[in-house]
Amino acid sequence: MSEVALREYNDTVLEALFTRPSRAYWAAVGLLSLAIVWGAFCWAYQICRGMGVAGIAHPVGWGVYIVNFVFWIGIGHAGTLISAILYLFRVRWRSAIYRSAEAMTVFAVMTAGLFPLIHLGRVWVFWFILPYPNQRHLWPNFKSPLVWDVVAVTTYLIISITFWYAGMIPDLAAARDRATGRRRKVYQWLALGWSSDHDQWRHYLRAYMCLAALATPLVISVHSVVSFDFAVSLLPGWHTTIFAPYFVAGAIHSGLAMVVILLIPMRSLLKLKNIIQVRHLEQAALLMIVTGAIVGYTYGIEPFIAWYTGDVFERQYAAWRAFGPYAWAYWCTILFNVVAPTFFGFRWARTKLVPLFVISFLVTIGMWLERFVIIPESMAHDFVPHNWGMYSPTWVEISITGVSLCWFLFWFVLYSKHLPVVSIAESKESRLDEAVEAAL
Amino acid sequence: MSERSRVDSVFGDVESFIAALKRLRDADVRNFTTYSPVGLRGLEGLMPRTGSPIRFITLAAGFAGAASGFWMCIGSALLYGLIVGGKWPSAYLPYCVIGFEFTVLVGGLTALFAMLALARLGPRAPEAEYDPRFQVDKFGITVFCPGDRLASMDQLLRSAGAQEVHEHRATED
Repeated sequence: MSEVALREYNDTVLEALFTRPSRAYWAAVGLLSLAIVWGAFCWAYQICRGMGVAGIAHPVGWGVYIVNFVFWIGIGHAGTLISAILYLFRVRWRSAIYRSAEAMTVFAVMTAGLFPLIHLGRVWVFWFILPYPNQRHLWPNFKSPLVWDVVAVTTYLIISITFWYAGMIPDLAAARDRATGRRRKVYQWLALGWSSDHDQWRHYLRAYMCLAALATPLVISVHSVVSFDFAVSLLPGWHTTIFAPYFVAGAIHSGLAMVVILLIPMRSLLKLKNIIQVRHLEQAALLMIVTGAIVGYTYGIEPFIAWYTGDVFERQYAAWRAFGPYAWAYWCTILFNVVAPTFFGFRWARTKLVPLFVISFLVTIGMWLERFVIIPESMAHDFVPHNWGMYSPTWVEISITGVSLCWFLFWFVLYSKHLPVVSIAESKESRLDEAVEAAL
Repeated sequence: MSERSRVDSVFGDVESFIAALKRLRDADVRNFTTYSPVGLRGLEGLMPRTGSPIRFITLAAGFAGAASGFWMCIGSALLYGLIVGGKWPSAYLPYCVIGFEFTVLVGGLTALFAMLALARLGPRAPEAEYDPRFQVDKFGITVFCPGDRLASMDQLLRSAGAQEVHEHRATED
């Protein structure tokens, strides 16, 4: 990185912003928009026809909508890990990739937030769960994990946006200085009169540190709270104390994979190869080895606990999960999430873009399957044999699931051409650290 | 600010910028501000103003958030104060989740708004002394001083390695 001059950070990152988008870019925006229209139609169809058009029916009340909700919340976690936790530890390699990882967090949580609404059926009554003063003195039950979830996810979205925006203010000022016309007005408004003076920096750095310190426990808490949706129940497959760390590790695992998947094409398309280098992706791959190992440990603990407790319901469920009709999902989960990332132990697998992309893609698929294994499968096979059943998603659910990816990518594609995708100020800071120390 | 006499200087590298700050400290000059493309750490001993109350404001806001979270949960439970099964209507352990989330929410938003207020940020253009090059690769020092000291400040900054120095004399001087 030392060969990159300070000016080059501005030139490279802002060039991506001010170069006229290509036809391929607009084609991508157009296709993603069409997909979103299709998703909106499917949702509208479900609202008009009722929840019967979805595959969720007794005994499986939580299908792929809730799987998607947990999946997308998890995707967001690597963004906060890279931006907040690594910031507190002063890890320098984060500066090249944290902005996009944070953007990914915001868009993933936006996507996740749609699914409880879609799953609700009667979406127009969603505000019943919000705490607000009303004449009937009716309040949500704050002892319920579902209400914890609403509060935790809302807090996560707001703080993620706050952290993302706060980190962007100096770079928006750089964009403002280069922009002309209407865009200049927009960037000027967003940059809030930033002039890089000492008073601004000293308050800014302190506030950013506070936000990082608050976001760090938040990222741990959010997926823990999501796991409580399941863990506080009595259902075999859900009722386990390991769920909070299990979910958090899995979330970071899938989030890191998604960061790699997004950054590999982005660094080429926006010509950012000298700033977002392969070594940054390599660091993410190394982290995935760690999170994959934690996830693998939890996969091993689940059947062990089922055997060790001697609980007949847990034992039958563990056996059914591994050898029943959904066994393919269970074994694919292990293969993609635990076995595939171990290849990152080989240097070629984490320094070549093709294996990096392929393994990250497998991890992303594997993490979605993990949530599928946990959520509908547990409901399909509970305590009472005559209550057992099967679940398969309908075309409406499959469409909405696919469109959720398009919705996420739509926002990410827009972001990549309208906001600075790399932190210019912090990349320079990493570059100047040694010079400042020497000069002092 | 633009009506005061001042000397604006531009530095091409961080080394000469820090050298100038050291000279200003040695000359006991405290009425100045700096511009830099990055937030430089470790310069506290050279700057006229250091630290920020944002930590304490955020801490206080976090406590207020936690209190409001518990207050909302307990208050709403006590609206229907029927004791069922011998249990008190409010249960403090589950409310810890809401209390924690409110701590982070109120603390985080307060940190942002405190920063905006203290750094005087708002939807407007930057101040007159601002030079867009400070957002790229240049460092700047603006020294505010009486008109009769402009020349000596000019000399001090040039001798530290400033690439450009501009004197601005206020009309009342």
